Amino acid sequence: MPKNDEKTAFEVFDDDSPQRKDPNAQLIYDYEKHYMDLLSSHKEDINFISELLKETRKEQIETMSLLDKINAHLIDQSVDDEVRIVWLKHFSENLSKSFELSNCLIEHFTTSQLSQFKTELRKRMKK
Amino acid sequence: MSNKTSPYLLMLELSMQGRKKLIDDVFQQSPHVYDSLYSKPNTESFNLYIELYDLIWLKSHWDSLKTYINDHKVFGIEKANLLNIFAWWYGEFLHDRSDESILLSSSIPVMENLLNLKIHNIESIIEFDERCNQNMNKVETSFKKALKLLNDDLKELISERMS
Repeated sequence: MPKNDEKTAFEVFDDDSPQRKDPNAQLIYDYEKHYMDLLSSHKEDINFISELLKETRKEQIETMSLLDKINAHLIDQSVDDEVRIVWLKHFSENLSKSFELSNCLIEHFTTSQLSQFKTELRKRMKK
Repeated sequence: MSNKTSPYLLMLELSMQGRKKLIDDVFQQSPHVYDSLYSKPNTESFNLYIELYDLIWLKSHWDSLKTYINDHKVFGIEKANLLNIFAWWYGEFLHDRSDESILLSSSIPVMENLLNLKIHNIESIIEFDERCNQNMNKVETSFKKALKLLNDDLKELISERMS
């Protein structure tokens, strides 16, 4: 239990606290409160985004580690060395670009969720 | 719109399927991949076969998106969002390589047409409105036309060599 002079941000703005009468402080309190409420209701979304990033990184590592296997497969299929090198370069460029764009999609998705979060916050503040 | 139906997540899913296809096509010996692998290096046919496979691969993303739209009866703003994100994704994919493609096959005018068709695809998607089915058909036709042009050019190259 914190001492009186070590109150948390929420305790400072407690119902009985004189600081609640200050409109600016009240605004901060409301903001903090709604922010925390929203954060906890969006916990699932935050975890979802984190999992999404984790899965994409995992897939990228696994896919890139397949390149050696693909190279060996092409040698096995008697593909001309010069063709194999040029083709593999093009192949890995396609994969890298696809991963790069997937990361952008996750970023855009996160931004859209964040914007939704801010809109909800603004709506609650107006109530 | 919930997480599951977010257009970003759907495009993410289609990209993942696309990468899987890219790898599967090598191990499952797709003829489209092996046409380029068994052609002569640094020849027009090699470049065309690579370009042809790229187009087939990019089109597979479009086909999956189209199937999703039809199966889930997506329309209105949701459909517009999906098409816009696909247009962005497709445009980004072409952005890095368009100059390279032209340079690789500068002697073949079809490459220029192909690039125009690819750009036309994006324009058709971007021009989306309530008459979107019309625009989706335009994209479909552009893909078909680009594939036909590439196939015809390859046939011509092969017959030239045979004669």
